[in-house]
Amino acid sequence: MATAARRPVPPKAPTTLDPASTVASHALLTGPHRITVRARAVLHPYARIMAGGGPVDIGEGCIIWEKALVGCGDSKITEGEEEDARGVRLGPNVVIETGAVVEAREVGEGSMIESFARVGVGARIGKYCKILSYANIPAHTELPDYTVVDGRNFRRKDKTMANQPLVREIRAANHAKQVKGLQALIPSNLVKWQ
Amino acid sequence: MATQFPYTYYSCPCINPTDSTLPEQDDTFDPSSPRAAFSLYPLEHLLYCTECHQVRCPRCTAEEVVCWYCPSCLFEVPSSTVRSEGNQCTRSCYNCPQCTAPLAVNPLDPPESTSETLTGPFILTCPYCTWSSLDIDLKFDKPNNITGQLSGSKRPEPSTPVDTPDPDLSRASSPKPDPKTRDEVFTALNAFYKNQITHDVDAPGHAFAEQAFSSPHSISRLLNLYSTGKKLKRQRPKPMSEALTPADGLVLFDPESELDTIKRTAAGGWEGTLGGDKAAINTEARFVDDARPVASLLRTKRAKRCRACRTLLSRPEPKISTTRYKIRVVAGSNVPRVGLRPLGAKARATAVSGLGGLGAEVPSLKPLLPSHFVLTLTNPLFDAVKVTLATARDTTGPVKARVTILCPAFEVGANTDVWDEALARDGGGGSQGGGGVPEAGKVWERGRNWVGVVVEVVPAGDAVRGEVLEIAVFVRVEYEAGGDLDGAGKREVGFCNPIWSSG
Repeated sequence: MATAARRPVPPKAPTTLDPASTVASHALLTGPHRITVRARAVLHPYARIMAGGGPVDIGEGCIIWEKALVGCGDSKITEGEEEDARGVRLGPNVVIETGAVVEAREVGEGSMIESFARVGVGARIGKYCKILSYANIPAHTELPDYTVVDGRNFRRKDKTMANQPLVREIRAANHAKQVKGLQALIPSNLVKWQ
Repeated sequence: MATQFPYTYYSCPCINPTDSTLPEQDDTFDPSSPRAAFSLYPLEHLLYCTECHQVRCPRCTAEEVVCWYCPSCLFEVPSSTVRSEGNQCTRSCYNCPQCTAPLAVNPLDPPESTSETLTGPFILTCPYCTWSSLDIDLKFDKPNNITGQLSGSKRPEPSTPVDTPDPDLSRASSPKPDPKTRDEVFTALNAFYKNQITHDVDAPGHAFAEQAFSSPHSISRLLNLYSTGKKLKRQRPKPMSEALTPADGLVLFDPESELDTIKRTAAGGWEGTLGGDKAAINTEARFVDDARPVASLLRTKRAKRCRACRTLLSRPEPKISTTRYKIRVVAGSNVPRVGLRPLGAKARATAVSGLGGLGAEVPSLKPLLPSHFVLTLTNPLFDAVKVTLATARDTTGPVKARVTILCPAFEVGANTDVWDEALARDGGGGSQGGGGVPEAGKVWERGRNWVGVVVEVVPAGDAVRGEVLEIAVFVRVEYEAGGDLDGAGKREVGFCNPIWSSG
């Protein structure tokens, strides 16, 4: 841990935190760009949000687990890219599990990125997608809605979710329950990051 | 463990056939012969028959099923059920047809319903790839006994009719419904041909008559064969009719269904079809929409018996949730463990346990220069044993070397209480050879239940670089078994100890 002690403390990012959101004091929100955390979003301890290449917008009811990384660490923007092309926008009710790295431009509503999956820069993930553990989505990939991708890059369309509104409702209700439980468990420290 | 270097393989006696009609086999064990590869095992893989006093390898043990169980619900399935229902769980265990993960039963209650009890309907969902039985329009009324509900529920009509009955061929009087699925077609065909055979079996000399072994006709026919009386008049067998109607199991080619398949492939695309591995478990389905949940396959717990005397060598506990064994006679507790290490190496502790593990100090042999190694024998028995070692003067295999065991006969102490050794002496590992010079006829080092003797290896001048030298050592163990005369003078054959040689 000696090297960690010598490492310079990353600068705090300018933030807009909804008072109804939960940000653990051990979460990390860094970078020169703005980080927005919307209502009912839950950031676990040791979750990392890096707004290095553009603003990061965390949608309503998102859950970001520990050691997950959302956003790009560096601010290098290649030729022809927009100013905030490396920003990340998470739609509502997105779940990002332990150790996942999400550098995507956009992740659609209700999508789930499982543990240790990687989503490359500029990728656009549709609604209700499921990226399974250790899957790797290359940069600038566009995934249509309801896609399931596993670690061997086997892809299929989740027809149940696509065709059954009732299943989506059940899923949203369960997610709301999970958020409620996590809000009770994780002490929020918004002041630290404001 | 066995892959560690230097490794020791134990040869199972099944390499030498005990058939007395065969000519006497040369008893010299050649570890480099291709046949030897089938009888050399690490000690951990071997069992021991206490009746035959022999090591038993997986090849000379017979397995028998102790119980069948479902790996998913861990319920035991009686073997009668396995015979009648097949090798699958008959409860509610199903696997995903897309990714083979076990499926979960989930209620499809609307989230705002406040009733305490789940009313259903229920669906099977895959927690991994999110496949659900809604994809194939399957819902269940109860969360339990899925198999019963699945067999009760009518299969969804496949959009590609496999066998459209041709109006010209279908019998109007046929009471049976036309078989639809592959299994039904098979059952229909099976019934049809069995029927044909039982009808024709009355005709003597029919080609299929022999198949009905148990029929009284067959027996009288057999008796007729041996009777010296009049010759049996051979009749021409009646011609057998083929399955002619769909009810008999005839599947007619339907160009419409082929066209339909092509259309579905075009519409569904690559993702709409089942991959080869998934189609293998869902033999009837070609498309994702047709794939049905697959019942969990059962697993078995197996006991092992000696092939020669049927003694139980290993028997797991029949309780599913335990992994313990009731009986397990491993070779490691009955035959001496053999280890090898270079003379002077400090790895005595590991050498005694026979696991080797020299790590970085693997020596290389120099051609024509003698190298010394310590061969360690550890006795797991509670009696002292007399050991006689023998080895061929020249090794076979890729590296030729002259091998001499300096002390081929010695006694190894009993495997008594570890404390005896610890209290009997103060420190050290028994009588160590220490810094002396290896001497012929003398044991190099000795402990409570282990003995190390020196082996001299002189590689030939044309030793191949980077090859492994294997030394076959014949170990004969003699011990006085109390009251058990059979036990005295028992032997095991052929241990192989390799040494690295880089020329």
